[in-house]
Amino acid sequence: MIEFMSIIRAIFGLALLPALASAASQPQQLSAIMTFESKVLSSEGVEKQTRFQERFIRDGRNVWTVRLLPAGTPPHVHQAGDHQHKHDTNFVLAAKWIALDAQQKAQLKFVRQETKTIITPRTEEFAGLGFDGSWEHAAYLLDRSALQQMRVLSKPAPAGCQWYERSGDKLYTRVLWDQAWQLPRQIETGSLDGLSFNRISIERRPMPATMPWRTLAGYRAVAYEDLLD
Amino acid sequence: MKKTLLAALFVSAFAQPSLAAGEAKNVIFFLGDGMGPATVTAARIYKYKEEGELNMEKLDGKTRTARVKTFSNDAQTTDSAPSMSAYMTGVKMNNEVISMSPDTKPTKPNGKDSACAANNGKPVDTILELAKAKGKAVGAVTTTTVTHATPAATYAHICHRDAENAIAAQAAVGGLGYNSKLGDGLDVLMGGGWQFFRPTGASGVRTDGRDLIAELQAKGYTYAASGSQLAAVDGKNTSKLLGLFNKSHLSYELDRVKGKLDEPSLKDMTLKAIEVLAKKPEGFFLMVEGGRIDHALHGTNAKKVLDDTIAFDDAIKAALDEMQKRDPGLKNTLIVVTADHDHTMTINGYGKRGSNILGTVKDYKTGAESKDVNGNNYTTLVFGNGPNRKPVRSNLLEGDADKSQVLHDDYQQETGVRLGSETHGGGDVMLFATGAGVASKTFKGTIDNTKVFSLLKSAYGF
Repeated sequence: MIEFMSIIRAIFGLALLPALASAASQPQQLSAIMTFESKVLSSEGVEKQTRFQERFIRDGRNVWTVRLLPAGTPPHVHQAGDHQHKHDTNFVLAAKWIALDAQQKAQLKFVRQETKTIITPRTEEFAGLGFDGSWEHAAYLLDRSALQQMRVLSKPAPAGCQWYERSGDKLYTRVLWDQAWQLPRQIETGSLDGLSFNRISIERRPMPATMPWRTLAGYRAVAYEDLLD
Repeated sequence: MKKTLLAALFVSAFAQPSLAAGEAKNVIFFLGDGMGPATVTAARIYKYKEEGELNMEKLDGKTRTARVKTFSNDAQTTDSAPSMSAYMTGVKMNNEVISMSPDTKPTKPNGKDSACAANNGKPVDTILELAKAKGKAVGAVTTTTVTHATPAATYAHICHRDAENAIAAQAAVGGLGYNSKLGDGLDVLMGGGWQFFRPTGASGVRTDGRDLIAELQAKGYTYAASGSQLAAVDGKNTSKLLGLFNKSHLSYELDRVKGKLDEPSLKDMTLKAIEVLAKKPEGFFLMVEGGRIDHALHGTNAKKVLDDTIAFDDAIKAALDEMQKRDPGLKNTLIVVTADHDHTMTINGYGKRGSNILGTVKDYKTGAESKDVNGNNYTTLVFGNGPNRKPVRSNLLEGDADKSQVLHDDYQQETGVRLGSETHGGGDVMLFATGAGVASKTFKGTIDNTKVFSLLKSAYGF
């Protein structure tokens, strides 16, 4: 999710239409699986492909994303010394929980089920951890108003959905936007020469019986900066 | 009779420390946490270009530079606890241990409370404690929590650095757990970490219900909680000063300046500390730490590393200028600048002179982007290990529009080996010294970190 948002920002830029988010920032409850795929052909003739999935759950005030591990995933290796003073600041396998606070500001926390800890960075540390602080980006995965600056494609799309495209000298971006979900179903980016390609596919799933952020009783709070040194 | 006198003179001369002529009344010990040689070089290029000099490099005509070996009692690569403790005590101890005997085993605390067993090692005297015992004023200033490993190693003794509640109690004059070697207490203590001084009921993390800030105020300490409050403190009429300017560590310099945060700079704290401490006729000992250099290195964020290193260097310049006014020629003031350990940051590729040190490597002949084997460019500063190793490298943009671009405040440099957190490096660090006559000239060659303690002690004439 956090890596994804860096991609989204790279696609849409930071300066786009910040006002819209606060006006309509009550997204519907939604649960989905996001599949991230990339392919690149190197100058040594090696084609490298990556694929991973994350669960995405949101309601009006919370967004929760967490990596899904396929069967057979080898166990996560801790650094030697993790349990002494050196701390693990690799949050790839931690859940990312972004929630609106009382001031309507998006707050980021990492949740580690394994150690029952909730790791809280300072606001000024969000960007360094891949979150730009935007509730719009967190809840809708992009600045919705940026779609208005993209070309509408006549490409076939599911009911209630629309393809958009923006293309530059070397790179293109395509978005399949679902108006009812208020979420993309697909985002594709790549180079026009075909050497690199990225795709994020979003498939809806049933809501969980209990929202994951309501299952954190007994979790210990840890300041992100305590994991440094 | 004459013979006896002559003999006595000779004996007396040899019995004196050989550095008596350069005896230091004051010592200021600057510690750039994690500031290895590559960080020093990169900071120099960042602020003063390749041909320039940092203030720390100008000390004593650049001739008093030593290399320091940093290994700890049990580790090839040290952490900040035993490395600073070695400087402060002359004893090598195990990683995580603060100013204790070598047999002390690190025992993970319960939360922030100590879990050290009574028979787990013995405290060893620090140079700050020795200075206090000689009637000098003593203080520690840092950009981390004041209970963090480096400042703690000057005034506390404990089997594990993470027991920050217990470390705070060691500074609370007369209270349970107080370090009585501090006599009437530290004269200056400034940095972050008020959470370790306040009880849980007052937004702190102390589980014993004590409010150490109130206790210290009752003992006569002036307390400042913000940069503006510190600026309002009259140092000339203050003899005990406690400054805690953040619940945790102080902000990175870049965030402090850009966010116009009401926190003092390291330079502000250093000058205020000197104002308070230098009143003492017997002299003083002051430790100044640029502590967040290390944190930015762990985060592989070179821009914040370099900004914090420059802030540290500016504090050194301010202290030099101030002490020149108070002690012209620094006849009685020894200033030492060093680091406690290295990191894995390195300066990479055959970059063109004059290139932005935070940018991508430009070929020194053509100025064109240097490329990896797959045709992607790469940055000059990279790390041996850390969290940012991409599954597939791609071309980098030398802009600052967002954090994927290499000049952005939050850009994280790429790493070789992928680890959750970047580690310290085991290489030697640099040491610069000036002042106090011959005393500063004894810091030379490749020396062990424990040797620094004995040189400080000799400089003082202890």
